[in-house]
Amino acid sequence: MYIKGVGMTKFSLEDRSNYDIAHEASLEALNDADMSMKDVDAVVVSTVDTLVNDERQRHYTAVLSSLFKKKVPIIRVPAVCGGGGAAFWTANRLGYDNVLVLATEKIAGNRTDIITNEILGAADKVWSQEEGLIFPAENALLAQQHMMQFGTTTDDLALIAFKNHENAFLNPKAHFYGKKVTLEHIKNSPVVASPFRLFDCSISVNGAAAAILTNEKTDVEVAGSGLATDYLMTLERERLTELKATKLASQQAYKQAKIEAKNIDVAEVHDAFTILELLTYEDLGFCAKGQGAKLIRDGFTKLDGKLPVNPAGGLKARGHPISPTGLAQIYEVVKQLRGECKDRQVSRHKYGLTQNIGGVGASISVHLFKKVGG
Amino acid sequence: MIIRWICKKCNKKWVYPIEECVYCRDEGKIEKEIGKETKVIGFTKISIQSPNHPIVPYNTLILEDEHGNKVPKKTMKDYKIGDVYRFEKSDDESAVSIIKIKYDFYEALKQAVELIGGAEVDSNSKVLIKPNIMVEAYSYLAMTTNPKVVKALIEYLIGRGVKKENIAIAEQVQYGEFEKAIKKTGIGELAKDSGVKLVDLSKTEFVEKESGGFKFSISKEVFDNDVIINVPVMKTHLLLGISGALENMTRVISAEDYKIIEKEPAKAMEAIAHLHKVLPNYFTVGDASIGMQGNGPLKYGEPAFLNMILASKDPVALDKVFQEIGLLKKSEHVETAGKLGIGSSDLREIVVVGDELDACRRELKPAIGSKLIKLR
Repeated sequence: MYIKGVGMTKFSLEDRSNYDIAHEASLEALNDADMSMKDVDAVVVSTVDTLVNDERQRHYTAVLSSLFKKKVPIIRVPAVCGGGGAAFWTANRLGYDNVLVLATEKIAGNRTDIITNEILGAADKVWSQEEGLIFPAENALLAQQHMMQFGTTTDDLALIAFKNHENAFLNPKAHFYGKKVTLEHIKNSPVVASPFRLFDCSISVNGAAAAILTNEKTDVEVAGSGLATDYLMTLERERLTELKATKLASQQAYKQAKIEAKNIDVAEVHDAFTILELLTYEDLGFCAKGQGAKLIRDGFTKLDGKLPVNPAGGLKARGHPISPTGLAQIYEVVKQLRGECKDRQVSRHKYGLTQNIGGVGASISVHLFKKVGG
Repeated sequence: MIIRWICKKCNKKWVYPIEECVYCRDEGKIEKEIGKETKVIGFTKISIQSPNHPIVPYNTLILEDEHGNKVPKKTMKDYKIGDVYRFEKSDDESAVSIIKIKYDFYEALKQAVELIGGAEVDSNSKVLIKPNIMVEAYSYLAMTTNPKVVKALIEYLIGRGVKKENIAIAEQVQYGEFEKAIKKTGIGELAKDSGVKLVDLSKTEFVEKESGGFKFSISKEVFDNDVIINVPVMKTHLLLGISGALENMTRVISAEDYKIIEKEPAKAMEAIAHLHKVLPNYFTVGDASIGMQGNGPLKYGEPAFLNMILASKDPVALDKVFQEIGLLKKSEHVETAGKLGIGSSDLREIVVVGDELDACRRELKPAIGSKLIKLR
């Protein structure tokens, strides 16, 4: 399959209705594809129904039928924070000529503790939620294990946050667009779950993103598509310093695309917490296990590095609206491969990769995109 | 305690009980794997509040046992990597144990009871179990005791040598009929499957007792057994504030006496305390597996999903600890019982073992009533 068009709203704290942002992202994707909704054969949507605002809607497929005035198959694929990627993976296999993939979320609409609790609903209940293992804490424990085993430091994690804020500064669709964040600011932010500080965590925002998949040849091909699922309870897994599902999903995608990690020119990965980006370097094969910190220290993954990672600012600084994140990553990689990213355009852009995580490494999709004719 | 359910053929493990391995099917036997010693291999100190974890900072540890099984554990104390983590026992008369249920009601109950010295039973003991079956209601609504807790208790007692024919489950249904209530709550089926007796206290002989100017007709069953185990469901209560160990024993008195108390809520507080002056000592297993919050104790209350079991020889202390877990206001009947020397209502005197009280606190909705709500 190929990408015909992409669209997304700015990720922000703006109070807009869910239908409104879904409409904006979809319309941008249609305009980008130079087609109308008339030509869409099916829709795959991802959204979680949280209790954080007064727009909770379980039957979101019917909402879209009304919004798009379409009676085609509309399928919902929720996978919490990995929803966008999982929806894209599903759409890629449906066999329709043109499929609109959409993810939309209004998550920033209540007190932080309520939102924290709602997000916590994606974790194991009996063993983890009841022991206070909110998401920052669960990821902080992974960071501590990586630090103990491989000597990674909080300064290394701060460099990841800093890089992504620098990139978001240049991205008009990012929550932190035009907002300068210094390394000192990051290092001096309050501790939320040791060893994590506030700036090790992504920010919850509202937003929507969309992509149109087509079987007609375009300028961007979906070269590989992998999805893997791991146990819900992180501490049930074999190792705490890797996300096995990233390895499995990427192996599938690399094999389909007939390329290796060294061929990737640009990547958008799931840095909901800084440690996740570092683990992802290792699990995607950008470096050996335990060497993730070296990549960030050496500037390897900076915008002007050998393999730029998260040029759009990542979840860290573009913002993380749950389900739309996976499609926002695809939006960025498509734009990068087309060479449309202006100030944050990477120099080499033949192969791009996206990695989207649901839960703490439980539902992971990896997609590879190839510039056609490039 | 770290529990895993392991297939003895393929060694795959589950974090919850399953009947049969999906790989080995009937060739694989599932057994429990319980670690003897747990050590701290990681920790994080958390400063962000969330509704079920309102007190910060707190720590969540990674514990690992000798089988390599790992679980998170919330604690308010600081630990270092390599420290051994264990629950200490207490022989204090007012000790209260709190155990979070991790799918396995039997292990949770056994641990809760044994942390405070265990049930004093032997092969000759006659045991009366007094759950809450005050109303005809499904147990998932938390108006009545969860039969899973009673089942775990029966298994524990039988494991301690008590003969099943010497175990009786006894209750006096307050709203409805006994036969219908035991059927709806699931206690009737449990009694049948377990081979224990069911006793409708309203049909038993009553004896007169008096304390503090209150006259009570009390079922003779209470005095004819060697051991009484009170198994209340822990709830919020419109009249009393909370309903737990002390309130649950009010249904051993005659329905007529109970109605008199109910009609005068102001007196009820004192009457409940005085009733305990004339009751024999008993042991309490507090069922907070679901538990109730809001406008309890009946249909206007809502499940609290606490997933805990409490145990104590001191009903006053147990009720007090439940009140503290839920960050609820003081209940007058508990305080009065404390003043009368029934037990300890002073938190400073209560030894809490098992899961830490502060680590279990969460804001339960109190029973505040409304213009739409009466008791039922």
